[in-house]
Amino acid sequence: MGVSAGGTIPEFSYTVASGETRLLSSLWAEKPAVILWLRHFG
Amino acid sequence: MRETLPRFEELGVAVGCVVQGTAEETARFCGRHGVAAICIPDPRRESYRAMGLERTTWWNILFPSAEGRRRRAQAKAAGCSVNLEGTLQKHSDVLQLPGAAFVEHGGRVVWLHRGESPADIPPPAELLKIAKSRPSKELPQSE
Repeated sequence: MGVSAGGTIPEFSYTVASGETRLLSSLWAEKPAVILWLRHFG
Repeated sequence: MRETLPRFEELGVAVGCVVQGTAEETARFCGRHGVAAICIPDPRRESYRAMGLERTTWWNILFPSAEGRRRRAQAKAAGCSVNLEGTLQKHSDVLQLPGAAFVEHGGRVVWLHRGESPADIPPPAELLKIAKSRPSKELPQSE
């Protein structure tokens, strides 16, 4: 079912075009964040 | 969303858009819209599953509900109509449903929306309202 409101968002590691690996948690490490999960590009 | 980014910045709220493409696809498509810096590639949809975002059916894609049609029209009016090239990328699951979350500094999810239909994603104005409603202690103090 995944995370619920009040829970901690799961960590996610991803690679960008430069080859650098980043963590999703860097988004909210210093400030609140809005995150969208989109269906497709466009 | 691109037009609203400065408003989130003013509020001290970071924005991230997770997309289904590879790093290269993400850089190319998001770069075209000037939002490459906020796009996060997830070609295996690991974070979608971790957030509990479900998949819809072909029936719902081909025959959307009245609400789905209304949301599609809304998205189209906002300049976000479906891009077939983007939708049909190798790593893109057409049946994947969208979602959104507001996460406090530190990682606690304070608001979560799991899309129930393909176009069910809150518009930027609603996300801004949620960001504004956060207690001021959550936001960085201005200099």
